[in-house]
Amino acid sequence: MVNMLRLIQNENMKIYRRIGTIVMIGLLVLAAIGFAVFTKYSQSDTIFGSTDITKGWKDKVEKDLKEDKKEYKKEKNKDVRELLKEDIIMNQYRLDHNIPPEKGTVWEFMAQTDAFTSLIGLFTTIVGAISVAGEFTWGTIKLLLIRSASRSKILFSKFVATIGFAIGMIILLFIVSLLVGLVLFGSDGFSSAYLTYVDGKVIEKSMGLHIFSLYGLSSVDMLTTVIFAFMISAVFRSSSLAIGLSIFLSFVGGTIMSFMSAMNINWGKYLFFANTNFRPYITDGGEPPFKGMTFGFSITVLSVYLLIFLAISWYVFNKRDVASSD
Amino acid sequence: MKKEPVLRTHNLTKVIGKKKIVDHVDLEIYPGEVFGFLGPNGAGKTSTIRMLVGLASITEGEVFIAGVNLAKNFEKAISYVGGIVENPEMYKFLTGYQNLIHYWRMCKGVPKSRIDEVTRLVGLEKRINDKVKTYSLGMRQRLGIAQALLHSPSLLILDEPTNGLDPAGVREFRDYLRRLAREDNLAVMVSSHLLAEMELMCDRIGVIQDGRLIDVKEMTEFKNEGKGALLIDAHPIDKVMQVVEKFLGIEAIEQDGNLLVEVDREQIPALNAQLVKEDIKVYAISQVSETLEDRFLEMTGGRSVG
Ligand SMILES: Nc1ncnc2c1ncn2[C@@H]1O[C@H](COP(=O)(O)OP(=O)(O)OP(=O)(O)O)[C@@H](O)[C@H]1O
Ligand SMILES: [Mg+2]
Repeated sequence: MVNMLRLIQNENMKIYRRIGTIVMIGLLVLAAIGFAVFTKYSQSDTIFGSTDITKGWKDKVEKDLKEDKKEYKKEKNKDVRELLKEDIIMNQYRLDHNIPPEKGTVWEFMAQTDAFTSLIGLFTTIVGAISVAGEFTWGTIKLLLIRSASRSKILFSKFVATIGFAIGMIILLFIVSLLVGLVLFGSDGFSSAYLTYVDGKVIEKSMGLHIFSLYGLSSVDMLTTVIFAFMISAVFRSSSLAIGLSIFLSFVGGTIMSFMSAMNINWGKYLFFANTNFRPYITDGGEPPFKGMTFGFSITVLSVYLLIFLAISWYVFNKRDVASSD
Repeated sequence: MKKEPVLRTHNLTKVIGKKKIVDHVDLEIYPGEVFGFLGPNGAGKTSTIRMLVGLASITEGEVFIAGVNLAKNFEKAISYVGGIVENPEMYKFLTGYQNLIHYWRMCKGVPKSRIDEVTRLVGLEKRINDKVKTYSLGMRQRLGIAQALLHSPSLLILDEPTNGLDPAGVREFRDYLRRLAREDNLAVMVSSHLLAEMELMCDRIGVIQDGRLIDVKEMTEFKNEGKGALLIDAHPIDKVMQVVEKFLGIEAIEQDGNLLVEVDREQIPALNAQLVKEDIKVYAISQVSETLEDRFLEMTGGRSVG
């Protein structure tokens, strides 16, 4: 009976009016700025951060190209030959189309800031956990649920607001890193395109989109943790338990997975944290942890898990009595 | 005239584990009345109220609010209800106004100006833009009542609402509830374990004990029932004692220069006339409020919580 948008507005108010949230936003901004400054000045003696390279990039690329061609002739290994061929074609394309590499540009810096999505993941986990469990600890749940809005709608609005927070933080990270990056690394190469190599052909992509897709890939992991935290906080009504358990799991999950992967325990691929890293399928981000894992497999396994998590949250939040002890 | 009840429960029951916390309660509350829900600690008042507002599931029985079945059409039924369950917990990091905005967004078709209206109604205009964490308990109670009235409900359910209010606050609150019931034709349900409080506030009371509704009566009826203790302040005390004991044929007790005696309510005017006739100076004859308390204890057995 009540407008969904208004419920989301309410949740947003409760998220952004809390000091904790403001502190988290501030920390993210500081972290991005700090990282940029650190990258620039700690490595100023290397090619990174020096602007000469972007000016004289053609000579360097030509040199690389010659060396690669020499290597290619000598090399016997088929895989290595394939890699060299890719390099050669890409570099040739750069020279032909006058597209400088992103080395030392704002884009190279930006490509590294996607590591901060795990920080955003942590913050979103906290926000999501408090969004549900906080109502119980504050006792406000008793006034929230006696309105003309079903529990499902309220839970959904909380979910949307939490995801909205994550998206907002990602956009903020992008903007802040871009601005700081432009200030520290200059705008050389700003308009250049991102090149990928697909089936023997070079494809040009927008750099901004490329960075966003990096963020997006990292966000899969984040989304999983957040939904997991959401479930724990709906079931146990304790934000600290939800936050603690989610962080614990994302640490331990990685360790367990590498262990199982090393021991060739193949059913490890059905664990949800084995399927949160999509990089191997999309960019050149290494191998998936278990044999026989494909993009479709991971998407399916992950979706099943997430649906189960969401269903449990929904069921428990709808069914359980709100007792005085809460 | 026969009015339709705003709240009607039928066989309302709550079982947790093996324990019947609320046991087949039938209630009817009508527009324009203040209904007191009275019971000792652990009697099941809060548990009943939780079911009435949908915070707890109903094990057995039904709740109708303005004729709408709560379990079948929660969103519609609950739109007629405003309430506070136990303490009015608010978002402490928000201001009072933001809290009200929050609840205002959750009701349909209420103009925003209503927020200022209820703020004025509970006398919180001066502090409404302060953070709730700076509020005193009484101010939070007021804000709680403001949020409960925001959508102009037909039924107001308040669980121990005078908790934490000072005597002036209790009085103001009481007058305010009475006015709401009378002028706006609101049905009000107030729970309490304090009988004295109910006495001044309610038109009817229902007594709950061990989850069972053991008695529902008009307040006046409740008061008139049985014998009550009467405190007579008159002079000279010796003569008063003589007259009273002769008139009633029972023993009277002297207490702090006054006389305490058990008497049927119906006999009071005649007793008074007798005293006056005997040239005694009567300063006051008052009913001891303990009579109600006693009756309550008598009914509920005066046992410890369990
Ligand atoms: N979640 C629960 N699990 C088990 N027992 C419960 C639960 N909630 C309440 N009870 C029991 O139900 C009984 C009624 O509790 P309730 O809170 O309704 O009492 P009350 O009349 O509101 O008392 P008070 O005046 O102290 O507020 C108590 O015996 C209590 O122990
Ligand atoms: Mg209670």
